[in-house]
Amino acid sequence: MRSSTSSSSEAPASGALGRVWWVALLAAGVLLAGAEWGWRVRGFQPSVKDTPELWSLERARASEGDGSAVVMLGSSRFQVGLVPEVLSQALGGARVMQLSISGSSSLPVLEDLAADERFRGLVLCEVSPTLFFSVEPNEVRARPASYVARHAHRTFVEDWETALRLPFQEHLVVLLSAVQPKGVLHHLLVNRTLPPPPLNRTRADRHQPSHFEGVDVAALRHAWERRYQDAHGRTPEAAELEALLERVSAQVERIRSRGGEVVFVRMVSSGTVRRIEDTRYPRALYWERLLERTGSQGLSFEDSPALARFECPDGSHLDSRAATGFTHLLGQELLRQAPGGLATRTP
Amino acid sequence: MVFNSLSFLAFLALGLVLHHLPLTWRVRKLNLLVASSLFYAAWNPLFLPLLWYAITLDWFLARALASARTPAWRKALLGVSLASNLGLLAFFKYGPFLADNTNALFLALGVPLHVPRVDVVLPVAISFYTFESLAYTLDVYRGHEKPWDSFLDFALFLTFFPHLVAGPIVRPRDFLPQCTQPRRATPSQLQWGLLLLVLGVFEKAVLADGLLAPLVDTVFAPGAKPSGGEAWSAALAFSGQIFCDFAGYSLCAIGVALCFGFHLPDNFQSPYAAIGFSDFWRRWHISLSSWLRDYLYIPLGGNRHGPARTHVNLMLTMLLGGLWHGASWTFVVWGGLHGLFLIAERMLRPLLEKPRWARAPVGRFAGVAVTFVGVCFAWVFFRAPDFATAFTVVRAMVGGSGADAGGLLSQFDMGLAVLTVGALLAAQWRYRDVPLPEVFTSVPWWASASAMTVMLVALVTATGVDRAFIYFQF
Repeated sequence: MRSSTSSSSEAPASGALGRVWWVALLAAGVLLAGAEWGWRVRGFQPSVKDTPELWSLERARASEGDGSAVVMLGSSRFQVGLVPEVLSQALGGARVMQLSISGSSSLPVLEDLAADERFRGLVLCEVSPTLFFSVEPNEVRARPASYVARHAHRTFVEDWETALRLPFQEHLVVLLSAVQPKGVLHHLLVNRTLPPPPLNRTRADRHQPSHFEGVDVAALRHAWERRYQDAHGRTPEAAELEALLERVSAQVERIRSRGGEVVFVRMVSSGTVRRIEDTRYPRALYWERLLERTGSQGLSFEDSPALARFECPDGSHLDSRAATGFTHLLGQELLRQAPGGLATRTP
Repeated sequence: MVFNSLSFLAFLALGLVLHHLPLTWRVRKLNLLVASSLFYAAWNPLFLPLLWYAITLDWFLARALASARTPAWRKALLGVSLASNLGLLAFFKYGPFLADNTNALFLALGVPLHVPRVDVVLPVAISFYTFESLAYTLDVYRGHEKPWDSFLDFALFLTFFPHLVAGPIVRPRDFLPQCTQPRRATPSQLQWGLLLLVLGVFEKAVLADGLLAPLVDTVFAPGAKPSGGEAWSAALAFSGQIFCDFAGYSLCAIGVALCFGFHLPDNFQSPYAAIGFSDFWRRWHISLSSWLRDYLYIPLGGNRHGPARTHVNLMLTMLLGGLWHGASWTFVVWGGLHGLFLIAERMLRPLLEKPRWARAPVGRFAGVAVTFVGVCFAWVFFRAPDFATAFTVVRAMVGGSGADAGGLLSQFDMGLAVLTVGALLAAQWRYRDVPLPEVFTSVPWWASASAMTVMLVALVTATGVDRAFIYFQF
């Protein structure tokens, strides 16, 4: 048996340690700077990681101060299609938080906000029918529920770590997952080319501007169509829908009882994706019943000619160039409908 | 707060600044103690009192042991220490496991009793600091050591943050004497310590998490149906993953401790270049295997009472060693397999040592290969979340996967895993008995600088999923 006296911790007698460090730091700096420049030339932009920890930071902000924040709750359609600073401006400088989680139902987070006594703000709750009304306990519910659970049990160190990483991720392309050596090598071997820039990126406020220019949108559309047709859970039976509406209604009531408000929003979808949604979840049976049961305001793109003229290149998400205009119009529409207390949420 | 995080780097920088201020040695030790407690509290502040309870109790028990007049009183005091330390470990780590198995036994026997299951959060590091604390009271009880006269030193020994969470399991005699003289790292110690930290984080974040873990997770997912090639790739990849994860952690711990002027014992020495399983356990998790040898195997009688008793002692030690890793029968089976390997090796040793070819390079290489294959096979039970998954992987490894198996991994992923682990094995074989500082001095400085450059670039660009160190759960 080897003795327990240390050997690795005996610094080597060689005097080369300092030289090794300086040369390595210099060479690594040069290599990283070169890689940064090279990827930027190819059109890559920095992006933060959209992790549960980042969501947690945003979620914590929703309960800060007097709790009168405007919270966006939904799926990737909200993250891609709504620009937080534009919405804030449109609502007269309101504090705006993006709590949407891609591919997820809004319900678990709505319940979390309803249970939070400090929150008394406005919830813009996106209703993506296949996600919102699906009843099976599949990933669309499990994922946001896990975010909520992690938030409840997070440590202050996790918050620090996320906050420390953000400035680096916001400014450095070499930190992108898309340019990891392993992924790049794989792409090179398979396609004989370097990878293209990702379709979208995430900002520190969790907005995800997407650029569809130069992207094979037909393939994307096809992928979304398949997903909306088959995935995202099962269409509810009558009793299941009733229970779901009851559940949502109770959460809305809890938020309202503290002076908050919930406005349901249907984001724009196009082409076959929209047809699939309308077929699987007819407006009269789902959207209108939801508004009726909760007594909430609803804002559907179909009801506003200005919003309805927008098109989603992939059938499901807005392009970044359209997102700004769409957000501005949505903000105006919100003010026009002026749901209870919205005016009080502007500073 | 893990070693591969920016918050740890900030914590380390602040700690080093404090440690190098012109303060008295006592104050600097106190700083380290407070920093270590904060480091521990970062995981879960609720468990800090538990750690301090263990420190305080064993401190006073050891002093009482040294002054106890009668053997009965000494035994009683030791009993309190054992009951307290092992009782806490049993409650937090094995409580639900014991309840489940007791209830299963009652059900099988038709006994109308039900033990309530209490699900508790496992306090991080409890397996490590319990063993360190026990080593202290056992050494004092046996008269091998005198009780240490400074509570501050003893508290620092158990809480010192580099080794607190996942070892190495430090012995009192290795650490406490270091507390008597003021310690600061020399410039070369600081540079070497930071180099070890970079190497350790590289092993963990780039090799274990980035290259190997995704493949392992895919094959060991419940319900997955791997082909033979995929199963072997995953077993091979996990061998690499767990080594890089844990040896990487140990290197970080040794390096960080050295930055403060403290020496920690080695925990790994080219384990996959071991010739035979007893050699493997002299090289793998050295601080645990030596602890089990000194405080369990030898007290059980070791090899002093004939072959049969030796085999029983070996098996018991390995079964308990397996159980130490977690409250699951899969860990017990893993330990049992190693027990069987060790017994088989002892029985075959006379046959294997005689032929001349066994001492030739080809024989030694065959010994390494057989040992590594056995270790790989046992890792399947260590990694699998349950027996169903373990047997699925084992079946696939021996050619029993069904026609619908496969399609889980790409050729690229399998090739990368095989290359990575192959390089790891080659390096361990090449530097089988060479300590790391000697490895460093044996290669030209520019080669070290190149390797360091690659590691630094890889650490910045390897932005995979953050994973906790595997041994944090033990």
